Amino acid sequence: MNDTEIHSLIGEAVAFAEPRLKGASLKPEDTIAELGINSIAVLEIVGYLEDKLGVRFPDDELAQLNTIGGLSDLIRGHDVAAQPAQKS
Amino acid sequence: MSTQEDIAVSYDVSNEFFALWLDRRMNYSCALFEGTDDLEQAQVNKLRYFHDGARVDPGKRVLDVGCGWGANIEFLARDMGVADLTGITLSKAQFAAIEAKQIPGVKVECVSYKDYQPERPFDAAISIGMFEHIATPEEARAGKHIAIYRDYFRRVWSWTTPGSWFGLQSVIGDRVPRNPTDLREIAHATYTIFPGAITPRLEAIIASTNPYWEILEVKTRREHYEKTAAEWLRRLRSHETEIRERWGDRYEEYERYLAACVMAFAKGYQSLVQMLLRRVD
Repeated sequence: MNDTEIHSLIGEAVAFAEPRLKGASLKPEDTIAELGINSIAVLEIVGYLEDKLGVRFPDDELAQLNTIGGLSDLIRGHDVAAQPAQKS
Repeated sequence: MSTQEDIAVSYDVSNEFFALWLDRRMNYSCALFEGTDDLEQAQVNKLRYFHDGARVDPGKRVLDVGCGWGANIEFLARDMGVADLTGITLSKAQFAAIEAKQIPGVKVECVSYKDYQPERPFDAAISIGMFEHIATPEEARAGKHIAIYRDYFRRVWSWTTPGSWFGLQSVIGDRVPRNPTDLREIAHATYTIFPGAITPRLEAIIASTNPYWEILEVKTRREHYEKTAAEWLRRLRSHETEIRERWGDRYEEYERYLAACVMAFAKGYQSLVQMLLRRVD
């Protein structure tokens, strides 16, 4: 995935978990706390991304997700295109 | 770590309330269902596991960090003949309950581990279900938790004699839930029943023992905690009328919390670890 695709997917995921943020301009440095996204919504975002990408991110990397850029790094760091889809 | 006010929310509800659904020794932690389906025996199994694992014998001076209502120190004193025991707790209600028992050879202090200074070092340490209070959710999210856990291990190391063993039990986080309903139920337990507390991940505990303690044994007991919580929930429900009369909405709160515990252990969101550590000298 290129950066534009990743950014677009994160926007979708954020809007899914927090509808009030639909269409919001999200920047990599935006913190999850500043956006008013609580810890439950963060994991809903992660679940949405996993469903769309057909991957499962390592649980230990989720505890310190603090920024929108962190979500991008999570996707890039796991080379999602190289993983087999989890669903059939 | 959890403040004394946080601890009061979790443990100072009412000793009589907890007595209605815990085992008769008042163990508020996972039991060990090996060779039994009976909670009372399973709790004794757990206490025996740590007695043996921490190499406790009647001549040793033993510390219990986060001693609850004194189940472990009372077992060591009355059942195993240990004559020099100290328990520390931050709960005023638990402290008063142990003082009232007047257990021979037992000293109890109402103090944070951060302020504790023993008169003399101990030959063994045990801590059951206290590790979850060491770091707050905010500290864990900020990545400060391993340093905080390491400082805890350093302190226990500094309170013990060379060659000491340390038996540790803690709930641990395992699979992170993505299901919103499950998340909400676990969040209720975390923020309403145990404010200021968070279950560590096993790798965080392992990373933080170094350089003070050598890990000799690690056992995970997820199914045992599912069974323990299910029995607590069954007992709570069997006292519904009395609890509603005496404590009102507390019944709903604890039924929801215990049901969430059963769910969290059944689905693998949470597990339990028992570790036997030996002091690095």
